[in-house]
Amino acid sequence: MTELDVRSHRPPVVGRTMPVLWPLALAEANLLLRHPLHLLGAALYVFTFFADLGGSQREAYSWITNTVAIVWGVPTFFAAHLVATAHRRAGGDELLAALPDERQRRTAASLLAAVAPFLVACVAQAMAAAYYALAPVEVERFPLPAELLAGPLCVLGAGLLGVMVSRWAPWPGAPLLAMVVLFAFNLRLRGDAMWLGFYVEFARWGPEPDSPGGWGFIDGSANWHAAYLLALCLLAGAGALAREPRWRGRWVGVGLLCGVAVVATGWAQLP
Amino acid sequence: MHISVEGLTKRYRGRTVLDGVTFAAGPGVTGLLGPNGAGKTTLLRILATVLAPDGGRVRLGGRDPATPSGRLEVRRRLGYLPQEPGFHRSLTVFEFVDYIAILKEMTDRRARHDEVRRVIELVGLDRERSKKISRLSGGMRRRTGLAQALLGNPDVVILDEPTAGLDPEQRMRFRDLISRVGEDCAVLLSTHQTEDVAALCHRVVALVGGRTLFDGTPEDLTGLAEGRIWHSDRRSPGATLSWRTGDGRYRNIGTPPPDAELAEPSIEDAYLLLTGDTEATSTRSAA
Repeated sequence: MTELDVRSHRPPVVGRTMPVLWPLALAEANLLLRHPLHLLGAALYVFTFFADLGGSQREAYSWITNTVAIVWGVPTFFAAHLVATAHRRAGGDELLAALPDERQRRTAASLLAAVAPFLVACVAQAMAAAYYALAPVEVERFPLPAELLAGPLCVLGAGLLGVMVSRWAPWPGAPLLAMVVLFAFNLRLRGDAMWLGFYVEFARWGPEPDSPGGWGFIDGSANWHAAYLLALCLLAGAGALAREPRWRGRWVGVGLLCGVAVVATGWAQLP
Repeated sequence: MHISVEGLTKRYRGRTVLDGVTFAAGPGVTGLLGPNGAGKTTLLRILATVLAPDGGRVRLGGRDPATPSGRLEVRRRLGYLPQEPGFHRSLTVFEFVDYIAILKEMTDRRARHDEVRRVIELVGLDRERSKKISRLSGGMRRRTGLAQALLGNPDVVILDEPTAGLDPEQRMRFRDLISRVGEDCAVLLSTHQTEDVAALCHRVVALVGGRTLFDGTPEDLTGLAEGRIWHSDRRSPGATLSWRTGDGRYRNIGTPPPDAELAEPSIEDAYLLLTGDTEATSTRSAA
């Protein structure tokens, strides 16, 4: 067979002036933010805010420092997993495989998209904090910035972990199993080790045998806890990107560095 | 841009799916005919760079998809509609096509949206562009799939059974669309529908058992059945295939008896003859 002529291709209809990553991340963030489970998490946050209005100072402190992780973080984890696997579940892998964009970039876009619920949670948390700062309900000790940030960081981690699980275990049931393991791990933590969980109570308002300081504000570094959560977030991101064979070595290396940061910050936060 | 395939082979678990497939296609619509299991979808997946062949050579516009840079260039100039596009059903038509446009590296938002609107209008879905894909009919979903394949004026468009499951009116609309697309680029159309091939294609490639059994024009294909179609009042013993038509007579395909009343062959007769004829094992090239 003779080699056929190559007709010069028409110029592309649209320019490739920007990296694909950003518009793709925006599209993924749009999908994640309006996913019903993410909306459910945000709605639960608002609901519990109003349900706790008029509570005691101590209840107000507890609500503002640890509600976000559970009511918003857990649904965000499932939403992120479902959004990241949506095309695969719909049978769209074949179509996507024929496009010039790479799977690794799609993973990176999904990871960046997880920042969107984090930002929304930050805004919500800031508004709630402002309310408690200005409202007649005076919090016993106003939460530290790191204590306020811990919840939204859990939302970020939940989104990133959801993407990571979607890359390594895209099948149904895998995210539920991952969440059960996370909860089991968190529930087993007692005493000082409590800080290693994703759900941390910075204060306990009653005598409890497992509470390191009896009751009241618990010893430990909230700043280091926030850094610990951030290191876990980065580890999840590196774990997701390491799924793609191309550049796996690089991301495993980044993951190891993140692992070191997790150990260091995890140790530093302990009382 | 041209498609050139030479000696293409592909095996799955010891079974040969493609066995030395060779053909070339230029601008216009080229039909890929073949029964189920003939290897059509595997061939299209290889051409769409989704699968790698085990042997042989593929060139799309002179570029070799076996190399990473060649593959990227091919993907930038390719429009592909798989048999099952796998729509993200919670998206609207516009959102889905826009999402694919981003993955096709169209990053300028305004220009991309203009292009998305253009292809949606081209496939006649402008009134449905805000509808969720889950609420569209099968024909409209197919058109949504075609819209994404046409993004960015691709040089090669590969369509895997785009008319499967469509009613006659929708098929006619599709024919109209595909024929217009074929005016500007090379379209490779896989189908079971011989009428689509006769109506649309300037060239036909017939795959049977993973081999190229025919490569030529639809007229050449029809010509293969010349003198092998006849009418009779009873089922003819020499017929490979025989069926009763609306006028109560039998239409027979095969080797006619000496006194047979020969009939004008159609492309479907030739296709049936080609796929049903056990003697036709070697490539017939009328090119």
